[in-house]
Amino acid sequence: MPKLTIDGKEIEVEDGLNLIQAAARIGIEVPHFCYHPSLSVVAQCRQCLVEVEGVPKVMPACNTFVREGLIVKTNSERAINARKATVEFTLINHPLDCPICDKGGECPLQLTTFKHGPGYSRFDGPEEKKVRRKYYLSDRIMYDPNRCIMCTRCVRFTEEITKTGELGFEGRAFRKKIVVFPGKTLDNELAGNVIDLCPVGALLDKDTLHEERVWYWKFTDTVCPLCSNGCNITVGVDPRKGRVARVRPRVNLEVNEYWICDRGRYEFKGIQGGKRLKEPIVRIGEGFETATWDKALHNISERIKRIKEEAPESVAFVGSPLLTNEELYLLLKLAKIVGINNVASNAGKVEGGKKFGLISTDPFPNSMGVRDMGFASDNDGIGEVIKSILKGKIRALYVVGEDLFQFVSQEERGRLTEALSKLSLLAVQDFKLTETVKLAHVILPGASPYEKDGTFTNDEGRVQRIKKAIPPPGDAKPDWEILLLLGKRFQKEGFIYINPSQVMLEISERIPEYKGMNYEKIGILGIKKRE
Amino acid sequence: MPEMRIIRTYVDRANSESIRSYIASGGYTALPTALKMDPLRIIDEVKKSGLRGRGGAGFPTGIKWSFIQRDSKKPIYLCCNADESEPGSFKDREIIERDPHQMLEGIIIACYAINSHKCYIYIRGEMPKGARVLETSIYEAYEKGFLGENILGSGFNIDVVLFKGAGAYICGEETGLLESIEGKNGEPRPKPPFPAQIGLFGCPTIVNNVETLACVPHIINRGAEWFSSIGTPKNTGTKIYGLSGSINRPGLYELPLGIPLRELIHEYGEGVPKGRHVKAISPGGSSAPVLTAEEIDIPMDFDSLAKAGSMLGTAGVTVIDDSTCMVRVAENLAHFYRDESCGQCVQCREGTWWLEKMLAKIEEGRGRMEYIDTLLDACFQMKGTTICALADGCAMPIESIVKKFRHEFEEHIRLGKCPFGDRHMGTWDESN
Ligand SMILES: Cc1cc2nc3c(=O)[nH]c(=O)nc-3n(C[C@H](O)[C@H](O)[C@H](O)COP(=O)(O)O)c2cc1C
Ligand code: SF4
Ligand code: SF4
Ligand code: SF4
Ligand code: FES
Repeated sequence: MPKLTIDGKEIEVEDGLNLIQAAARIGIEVPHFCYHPSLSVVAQCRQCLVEVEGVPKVMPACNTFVREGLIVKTNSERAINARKATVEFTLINHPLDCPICDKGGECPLQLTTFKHGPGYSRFDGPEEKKVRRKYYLSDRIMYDPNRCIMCTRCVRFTEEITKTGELGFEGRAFRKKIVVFPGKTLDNELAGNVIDLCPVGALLDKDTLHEERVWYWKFTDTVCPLCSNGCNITVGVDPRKGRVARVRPRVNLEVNEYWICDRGRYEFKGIQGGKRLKEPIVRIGEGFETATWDKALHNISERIKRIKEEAPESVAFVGSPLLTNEELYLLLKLAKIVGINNVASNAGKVEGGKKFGLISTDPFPNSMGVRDMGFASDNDGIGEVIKSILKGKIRALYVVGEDLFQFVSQEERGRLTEALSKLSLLAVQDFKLTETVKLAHVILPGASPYEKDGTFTNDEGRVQRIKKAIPPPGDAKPDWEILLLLGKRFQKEGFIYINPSQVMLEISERIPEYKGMNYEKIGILGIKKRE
Repeated sequence: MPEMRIIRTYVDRANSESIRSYIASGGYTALPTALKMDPLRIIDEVKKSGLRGRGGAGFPTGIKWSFIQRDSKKPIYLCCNADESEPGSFKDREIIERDPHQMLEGIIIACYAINSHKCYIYIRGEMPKGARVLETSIYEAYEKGFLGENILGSGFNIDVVLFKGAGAYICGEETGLLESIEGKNGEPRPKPPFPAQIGLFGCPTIVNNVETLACVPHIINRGAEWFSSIGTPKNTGTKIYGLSGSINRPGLYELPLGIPLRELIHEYGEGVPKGRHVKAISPGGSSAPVLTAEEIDIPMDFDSLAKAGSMLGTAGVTVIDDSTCMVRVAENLAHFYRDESCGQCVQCREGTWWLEKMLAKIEEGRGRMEYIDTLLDACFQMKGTTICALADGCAMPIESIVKKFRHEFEEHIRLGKCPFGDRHMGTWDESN
């Protein structure tokens, strides 16, 4: 562990750190653009210059590594001036069109200019700045060579992280620009990450091009609901528009490092824009009618109670790996209280390795939670329930977040439709309109994973919090809340919780693998459940 | 006064480039001697000779060779830097075209010394003739058994590969050169690591200039003591000086290091054309800070020039006379470097571009007084802040011109035009 001095402060750090990392340990920020902890060091942007005693030149902190006895000055006049000059050079041919730049407000170049720049430019004749045409690197990502500062982060990403090598640069000197190699397009499943990696507004997302201003947004740290890897994300919402505007990776070195896949990045739109259920609906004869929560829940609880009396084994509950641990727990608790044995949920399945170490073959965020909360650990359970339905053994069915048609073959769909139509009660709780919902007697509008609080357990057993980024549409409610409302109709005292955090406390007492867990401990990066 | 020819001895002879001519004049006699020596003794001998790199930086060659870990598990490479692209420099080309076997013999000895079995000669794309000659020379050397397997029965193998560049100044910078040989864009690498540790294809590599390598057989043949007796104590041997610009007898002159610049210009070059006066001298290729006419008595060696704030560089001396506008000289320089910058470092990519803009405006009479200090400050910030020395190569001469000829800049700005008349340089394609 070498000891060194940075700005007069002595520190001891592990070998192999560069001076940007070492300085960060004592809260000293060395501005940088091309350096990124997960990419190779190229020392190209020259923004991180610092003074090192005994070295005549200023040195790039990113490419200078800690050594015993090193004396580093990030705050000497020479170092400060060198970095000021770098900013001035960088801005000479920069369009500085921050007012219409999508990066504005969260732009490292803007921030660096503000904090470390000279505050003025001696470049005379802004009208002479070189202007070059923008072009697309894929059908989603636009490149603006005028804003590009040639840090090559994007190029290194495709070389070193995805190893797909779509990007390169062409030309030298002021003609240099980022290009897609002939015959290729930047379409790998992680491609969208280059937009976040770019330290300026040179790589732009066509989806939000000139549509959003980041400073209006509210950010929520949550977890991606699109596969069992459980990538950490930050969801940006413009409260005035009330919908998710952007999903970005949130650093979690244990889970997704700095990245998310493009499904995780873009698919919220399908969820947000698709046909959503907004109010409780009750079937009256052949028609549907919107109902109050009270009426809809009453309808369900009364019918379940009745059918349960008549034939205890003819009532079944179905959960889903899209539900949070808390919701799954509540569903099981409800089943127990009512005395129902037919409870099942799809438990997902991870097959083979993850693409790019990230993308799982199990498209559900909480398959692990399904098993942990006490559902059958294989998919036999759900198969049995479907069989019972097809055989006409089930009379009342409460389905939460699942489309039963997923579990039958094309040929069996007709039979399932018929069997479901014959049920005395089909209550379906979901946020989207599925085939199962269409056959329901009572529809309870739930919330998408972007609209509720809770936890998911990823395929490596890491319990992570999801948080409500936006409210559910219309009268829809988070599923945990609906479960509470329904539960109270069966046993009042068993369902008194203020929030999912309290449900977790109960889980932590009942389920050994989750012993001692609470939201505070889970924190923003999650914790592993016990072995 | 005659030159002191060692490397240039036979360049005027017909067919001097052929192996027959080289052998007839005593060539390839150093090789058998060297092969009988302990490689470490060769390195020692080169160290003792005081030979300093002729590629520009003047780094002691023997010391550079000793940086190689000779028992490396990876292959060790030698790269012969034949990219000569520095404006004002044309010394390597003559060696390549007129006496290439000297260089090849030097390559073979150097390979043996550093335990390398493969040498890449990186030749500039715009030297088709040199490339043709080298192709033949390499072929001849293989035929005679100087290259290939078991050289002269020594059991040592060496292959030489000729690699043609595509015409970029930056590929003469040693790590740009390595990138180029690896098939990538010629973009210099951040150092450390230095090529001797991690060089070509990630292996230990030595990069040496053509002229440096051409000195080696002579050192082996005649001894380190003989070599170090030429020149000054710390600047040993002869140097091939290139004279160009406003001079009566332009060309190459091989003379001991340390020869006074005055002698070079006035005796060998026979001075500037009649009626003209020396105004400035670029003593070591375009990257060297210029000297004024008053500094003409300086000895032409690495240390004296460094002490005077300039550098010997490639020893390509360009004489500028009083009919030439110094603003235009600076503008021309900036133009070259802004075109040749590889574009990695912002100080270089944008700095060269900015310098050219400011200089062009001053030259066209649209400059402002504050540009002068801005020029100086920009030059200052371009020095020592980038990955390679190209940015320094642009900033140093321009800074020296602005400092030493500030009055010309002021005059342009005051008059609102160039006192030397309109610029005749063309314009450049800025399209992309
Ligand atoms: C921009 C730039 C261009 C260079 N071009 C050449 C060149 O054309 N030929 C050369 O021998 N050295 C050139 N050099 C110097 C090389 O980097 C290197 O120092 C040299 O080849 C080492 O050889 P030496 O030790 O024999 O001098 C250049 C350096 C820079 C910074
Ligand atoms: S990249 Fe940053 S500095 Fe440049 S225009 Fe956009 S916001 Fe402004
Ligand atoms: S596009 Fe962005 S990430 Fe890529 S080189 Fe330019 S500035 Fe860097
Ligand atoms: S100084 Fe110039 S030529 Fe050298 S690496 Fe940087 S940008 Fe390229
Ligand atoms: S971060 Fe060090 S040079 Fe770019």
